[in-house]
Amino acid sequence: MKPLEIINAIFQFIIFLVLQIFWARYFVFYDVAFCFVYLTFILTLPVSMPIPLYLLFSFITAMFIDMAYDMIGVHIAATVLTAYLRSYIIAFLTPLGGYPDNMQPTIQSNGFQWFATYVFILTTLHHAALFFLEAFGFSHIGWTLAKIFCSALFTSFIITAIQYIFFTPFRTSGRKR
Amino acid sequence: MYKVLRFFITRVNFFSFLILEIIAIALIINNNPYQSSAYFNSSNTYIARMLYLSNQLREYLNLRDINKELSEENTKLRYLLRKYSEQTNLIYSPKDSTMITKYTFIPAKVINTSTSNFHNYITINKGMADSVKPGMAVINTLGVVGKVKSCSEHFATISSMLHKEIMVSSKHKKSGNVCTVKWDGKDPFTASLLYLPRHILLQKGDTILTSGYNAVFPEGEPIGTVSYFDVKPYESFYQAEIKYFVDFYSLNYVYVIKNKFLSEQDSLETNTKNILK
Repeated sequence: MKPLEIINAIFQFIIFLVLQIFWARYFVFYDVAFCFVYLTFILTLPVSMPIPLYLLFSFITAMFIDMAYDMIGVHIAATVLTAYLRSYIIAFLTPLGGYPDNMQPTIQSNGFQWFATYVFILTTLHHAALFFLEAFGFSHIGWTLAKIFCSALFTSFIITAIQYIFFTPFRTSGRKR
Repeated sequence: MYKVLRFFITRVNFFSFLILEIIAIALIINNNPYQSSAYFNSSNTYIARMLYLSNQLREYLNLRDINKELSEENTKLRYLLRKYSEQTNLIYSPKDSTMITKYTFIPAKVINTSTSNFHNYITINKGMADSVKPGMAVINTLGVVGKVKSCSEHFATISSMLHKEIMVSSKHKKSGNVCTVKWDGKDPFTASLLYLPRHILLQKGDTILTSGYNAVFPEGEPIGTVSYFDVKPYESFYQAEIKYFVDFYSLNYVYVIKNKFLSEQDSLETNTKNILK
């Protein structure tokens, strides 16, 4: 990781935490669609980061979210799981010609379609872990599944939109293909 | 040792993941009452299921004893049922909530009754020991029965409505006009209705209730229905007869009514009379 990347990461960490706690927390549709926008930060951290450090990062981020949501542990477990599975998902989504050098899991680096798929798979995993841990059982399975699906759609839409709006115009030249 | 370390170092990603997840799960179970309760509940379910199974097995082996116990219990319940079915007639529900507070009801069994004399009395199995006192009203589920005349420790004598000396302040239910019921000493089913003014529209079958103008009877206890009436041109009151609701031949259970404010009302009324004199 370059120093610039670290500064960028810390900056994004603060931004998305504030966004999540002060804005997205109140952003619930029909009690089923929740928005966990802080996943943007977890999902767009550089791939070159050592995995234990990356897991620790996600742990700390989720800890703050948990404090805000007042359910210690649930977000941590879900987010650490997502972070751990990220490398496998990236490997699974390898395009035909392989990833470019210095690949970043962003729209600029891999394009809209790849990013949307990547985000949707990981948010679904995250929400599945999150809502099943919250329910702690399978007693309200229909409701839990509805929550998972709707929230995954909603969150991945928001994350993709944020990426599209705020991170595309800049480094189009940085895309190596 | 090196191999062990190597094992962990090569799988550092997985183990860091595992440690962080374990921390998270521990945090969940320790801090969230809902999750911990769900955990303890589901673990309890298995224990409960096991207990139920073993209980079923034991039950099967002890069927003979259980049968015996049940038949004994049956006999006991049968006895209680008979006992209570005898008492169910005693249950009385007053219609008015103020009546509940003002009047208390003492259930009693009629042990002797007469109908053929001019002064008929009823004997009941409750006395001073059950706080029955002379002057209290007696009713049953159908209507007014009489007034307590005297009582011993465990029995009481009641002047029934079939008593020539007894006059009960009553009212015509439809108009609310006050009148008096008095037995004339002939038919144990009928009594005469006195002092009902002639301007009231009277009909056969009209209900006569107690008026509540004396402290003995609660207001609105049924006495009987009008069975005959006539009005003479020179009289200002109806000549009328009523049919009692209560069948004095077959009295079984009665209720002695205890008025909490009887002495208060009586003393107030006598004081007022003395002042007016």
